[in-house]
Amino acid sequence: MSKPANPSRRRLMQAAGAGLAVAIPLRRVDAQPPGPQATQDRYEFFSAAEAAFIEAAVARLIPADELGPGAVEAGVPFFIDRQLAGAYGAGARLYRAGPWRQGTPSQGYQLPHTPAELFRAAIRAIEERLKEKSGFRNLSPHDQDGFLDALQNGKVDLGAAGTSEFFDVLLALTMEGYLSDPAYGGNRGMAAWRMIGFPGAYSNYYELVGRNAAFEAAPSSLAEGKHGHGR
Amino acid sequence: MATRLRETDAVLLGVGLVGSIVGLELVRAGLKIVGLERGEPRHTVPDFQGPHMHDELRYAVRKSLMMDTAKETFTFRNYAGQTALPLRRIEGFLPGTGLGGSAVHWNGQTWRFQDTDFRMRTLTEERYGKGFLPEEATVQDWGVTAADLEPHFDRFEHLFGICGKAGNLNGKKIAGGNVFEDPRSREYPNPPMKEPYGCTLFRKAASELGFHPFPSPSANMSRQYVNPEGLELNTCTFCGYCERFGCEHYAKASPQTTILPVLLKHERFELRTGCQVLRINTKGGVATGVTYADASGREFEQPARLVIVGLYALNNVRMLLLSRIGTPYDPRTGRGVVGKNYAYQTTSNVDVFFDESVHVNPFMRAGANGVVIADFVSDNFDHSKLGFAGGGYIGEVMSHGRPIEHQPAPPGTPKWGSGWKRALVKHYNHTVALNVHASSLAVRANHLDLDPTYRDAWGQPLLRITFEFPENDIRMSAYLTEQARRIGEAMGGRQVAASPRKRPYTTTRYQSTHNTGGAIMGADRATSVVNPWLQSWDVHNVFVIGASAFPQNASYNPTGPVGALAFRAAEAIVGRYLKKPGPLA
Amino acid sequence: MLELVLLCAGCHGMAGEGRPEAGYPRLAGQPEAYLVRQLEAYADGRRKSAVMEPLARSLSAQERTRLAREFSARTPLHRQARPLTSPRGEALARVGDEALRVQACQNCHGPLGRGQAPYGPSLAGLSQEYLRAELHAFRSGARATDPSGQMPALARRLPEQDVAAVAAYYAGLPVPVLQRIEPLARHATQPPTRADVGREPSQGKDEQGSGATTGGAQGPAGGSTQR
Repeated sequence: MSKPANPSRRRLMQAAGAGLAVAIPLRRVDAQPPGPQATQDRYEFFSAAEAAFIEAAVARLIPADELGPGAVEAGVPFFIDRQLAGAYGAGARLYRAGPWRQGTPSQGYQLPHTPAELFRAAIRAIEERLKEKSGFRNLSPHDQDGFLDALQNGKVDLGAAGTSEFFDVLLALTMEGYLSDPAYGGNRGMAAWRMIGFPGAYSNYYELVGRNAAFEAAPSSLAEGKHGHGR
Repeated sequence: MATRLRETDAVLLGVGLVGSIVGLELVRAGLKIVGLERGEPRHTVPDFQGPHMHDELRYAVRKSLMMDTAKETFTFRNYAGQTALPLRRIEGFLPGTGLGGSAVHWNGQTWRFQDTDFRMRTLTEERYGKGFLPEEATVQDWGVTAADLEPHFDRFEHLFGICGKAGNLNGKKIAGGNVFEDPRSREYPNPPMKEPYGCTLFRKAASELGFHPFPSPSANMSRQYVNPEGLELNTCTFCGYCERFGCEHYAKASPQTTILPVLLKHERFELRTGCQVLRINTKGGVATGVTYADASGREFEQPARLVIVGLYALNNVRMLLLSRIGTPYDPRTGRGVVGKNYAYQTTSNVDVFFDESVHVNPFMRAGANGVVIADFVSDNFDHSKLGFAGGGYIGEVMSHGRPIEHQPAPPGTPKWGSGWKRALVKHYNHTVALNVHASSLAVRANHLDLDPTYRDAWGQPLLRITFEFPENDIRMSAYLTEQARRIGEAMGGRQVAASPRKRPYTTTRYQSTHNTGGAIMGADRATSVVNPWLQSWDVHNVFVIGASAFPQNASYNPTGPVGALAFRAAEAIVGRYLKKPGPLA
Repeated sequence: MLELVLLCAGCHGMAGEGRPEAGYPRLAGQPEAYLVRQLEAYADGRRKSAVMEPLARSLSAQERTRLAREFSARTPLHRQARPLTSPRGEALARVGDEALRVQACQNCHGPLGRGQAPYGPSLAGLSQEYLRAELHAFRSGARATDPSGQMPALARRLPEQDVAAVAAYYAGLPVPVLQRIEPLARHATQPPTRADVGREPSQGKDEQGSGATTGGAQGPAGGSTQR
């Protein structure tokens, strides 16, 4: 205490009472809330074989390392599973009238498959192709990357499932699962957001604009506040 | 067989920005109005509230507020020799749907085009000679001048509470504002927004290079504002969820926050949502009303004495083609007008990568806050030795840091794997993205017509887009992006990466929602679809209002001119047309 | 430090738990920057209180910061939720009211009144009287601690029965056991779970147009939304 207490301070201190002058130890609660997805580790769309492929593939697309969790640790396979099981997988917002023609790259996706159909057909074709090597998951990480690279560049003909279309959707869904709100089953514990410094759903920065300073508060998710009072 | 309804004075096709502005003017003039909106009724409360609105996956990636492309879309090809195919999901641009239209999910950049844009053909030939514009250019004057539109720009800016700083007040140039703008009669209704740190870096660098930086005019509020309709807008919180989202704070100007509460309460206005207008009916050169399908598919005929077409620009054109109003454009002969002069926006960008000492905080942004220069806009610079016409603004107008969409990475960064992850962590909060937002020259080959093959859920042909960036615009983009790169270098980043626009035009990644033309305005009925009051040359009780009227697209964002044109059309209808229905020109 | 804490403890409690029944708000767990601002506001007249104004003026800037840090870091004593007494208050807090042009309180005050650092205070478990008084103060201009001007505007738009309702709702929320989730900063998490010796993938196709967009929406420079 650098300066003497003034009368009003003294009065307030007396009101506090000497008997209370035992500092209550400071505690910080470091526990993280259990994510809503903790009990959802069960596939709804993927078969066991499909899940094995997806888990192996997304682990290469976003590997775990010293920077943060990989796609598997973040729950991305379950995110993709939920997306394919739901409206997106069934082709919501996808124009599905024929005739079906192969287009130019500038014309975008032109296969007749919904995302769910595309995943089924593509994973089947990939595993068939890699049967002699006991499937994608049993390749070395180096060979897995090589195979994904070939997929991305349209060098693997997946028959009815096209060529690079499947990889494009797989990569997009992996990024979405890794970086979207944990309410969708990926980005567990908001770990990807913490890794890059994105604060998430609740946001009011009016007073912080213009500063060259890191934003330090904890991120928040849409899922918070849903299990609350009166609901 | 459509059920015939009771006649109304006027029918609005679409209740978005145009429909809301014109609708309110017309009910005040005593007309009974029916507003037909294909999408849902939507309001700030409850539809746009947090936290659910802050869901990047649902709104930005899956595009919950946009046109449902399962039911209707557009077909696309780069040139006439190709087979156009449907955009099975629309990624390149964002047509909205529902009450308020695209003015719900927009960013809020609100500009005035310049006189050199409105009179581009005349002024370009005056300054540079008749042979300067490329032979393929179908550039035309608008039939209006900046002075004609000034009062309407002014009205729109005050309705929407635009935040900015004047650079030319009644002819007096003001440093710190846009000194290249045409004279404005008064200051913006609100001061500029706060300036993010990346903008400060841009401002400093641009000034040092001798350019004239100023705050980008925004429809995100810099303070509490009560507009002329008595509606209060709130100060923007810089939440970073503007474009692709509705604003939960009543802080972004939209029909919902600035007009609709007044219009929807009006006794002479009736809103019908879920109504897909199939065609405008005409008889003897006069519109008799429209035929629409309600949400259950039942067809109705709504007779009306006046028809206001205020759909998304592309759909304005489609509606005319479906209704056989005006002569369709034929790019081989150059004859016809409907579908002519379709143009886009030539965007490009420069990424400035800083080290960890610079915290860009891209998530603390509003849709339209930023600092820009207009030194390379329109004809604000000498084109004589450059070999192209047109221009664009360059600025730091980052609008968000949503991580699925915003992943700055230097060239050569892998798209996945540990290299991708390292780059994401390293650059996410330490990169300033500069935008180049540039004009689009109208050329003979780029056009809109009805697709011969693909149809919508109601069995009607889709609109076919034929577009490739003209050589003029590729050269322009190279030049402008180089200027942006110079500024980026001067900002002091560790690395600067420039990506000028290249061919082919590709629809698989977002570029701009600024599709323009196809129902263009002009003073000559032989070369335009609507007259300078947005009235159809062919059917005098049909007004077609929107960016579809732009004869070519200019450097700035189009919403300001669309709002001004809507006020101009409404004024002509109320002041002249209702007194003596017939051609205004 | 203890002496400083004792200055506050008489009214706000040693743990900063507050005394809702007497109208003294909880300090524990409030964002540090928010608490600093309140002390500054009492000192310069943006907030009014016969007790707090002289007290705040007597504190140096450093002392204000130390106190704010101290109480912000304290764990609020958990208080059970009371039965929901105000469905109207809950609707305002979580959804808002279009006719009044009032948006949901939780947009800025966080889920369940948890608060939103650095300037959005936690409202859960504060007393109804305190919350009403502060809304009144925002409305009258006696409290001028929101430079954005949103709070005074909202308070003006809320009729008196809604002020009471929303105050009742937040007063009834359980005081949160504030989860001090690790702040946003880069930190190591678990080590790689499998051999991470793959090769670098190629960049793939579609390198052109690294996503410059329009209307301020800078696109993905790396580009991942393509499909």
